[in-house]
Amino acid sequence: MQTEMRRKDRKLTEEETRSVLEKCQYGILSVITPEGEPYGVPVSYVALDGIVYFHCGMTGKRIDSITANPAVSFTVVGDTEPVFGPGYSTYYESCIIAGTVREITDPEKKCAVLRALVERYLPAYTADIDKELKKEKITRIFAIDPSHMTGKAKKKPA
Amino acid sequence: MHHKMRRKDRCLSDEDARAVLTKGQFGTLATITAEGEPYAVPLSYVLWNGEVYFHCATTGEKVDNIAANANVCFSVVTHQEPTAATGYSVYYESCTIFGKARRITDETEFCESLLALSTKYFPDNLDIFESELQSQRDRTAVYAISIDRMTGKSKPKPR
Repeated sequence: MQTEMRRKDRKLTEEETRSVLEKCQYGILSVITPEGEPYGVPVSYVALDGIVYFHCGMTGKRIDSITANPAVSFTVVGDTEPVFGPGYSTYYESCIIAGTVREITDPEKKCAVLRALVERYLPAYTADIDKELKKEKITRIFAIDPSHMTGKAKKKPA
Repeated sequence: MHHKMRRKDRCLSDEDARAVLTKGQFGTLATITAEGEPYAVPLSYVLWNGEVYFHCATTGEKVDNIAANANVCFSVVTHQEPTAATGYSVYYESCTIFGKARRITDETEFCESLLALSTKYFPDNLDIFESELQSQRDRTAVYAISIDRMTGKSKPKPR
């Protein structure tokens, strides 16, 4: 069950939400550990056709967690700025995705995601990309299939 | 059982991890829903008296989640910068806390932690603190997160 947004006046349209997702530089991937505790980890990511992809090493806490429970929450935050007047508030924009992770195992698709990551984060350095793609075998890549996506903002007046 | 950090070369000292927490402008609070799924939201916060304090409305999804399961994780990132200096990588600095969230009901702790929060974000506008407190208090909830475990991680940019 997904709770309705309390502050509907701050809800973003689907298009605005996607643009927050495309603009932000990192996200927090939250998972449930095998011990039943929440665990949030910052990750680089790329959104392709509304699907978030991230990569990681072959082993680790987040892999153990999503193997046991594929449900994740993915949170990104754009510009934030405390704003004064009349009271205390904050300008912000954020996007929250509830979804399920799925591992990408097809080498061709994995390379396409790695390429998209480099193009997103280091567009001036794509010349070395073939070297990076050799790491495909020692990198795991996951997609987040969204069941729910919400964007929220208190926008700074233009 | 808790995982050891895989990349020990990137582990921050306790003191440096705490500095990340002091410096951070927002954090992401991860809670567990009634269905056993993670739910995370970004928040303003202040590190005060050794705990992380945040405020929110008295109702909502995170309030419900914490009431049912107080285990939370709180993540703060203070730097993120992609680099191609030695292969593709990222310079970054972050801190993650594992602890329990508790609702603050003590009057003094409630007011003082909100003052600490206001002082962090609005150091030059504290003259309205009392009037803000009076007008918002009935619809405001304050929580403290105990720092049961804390890990800081960083790949620093070479100077």
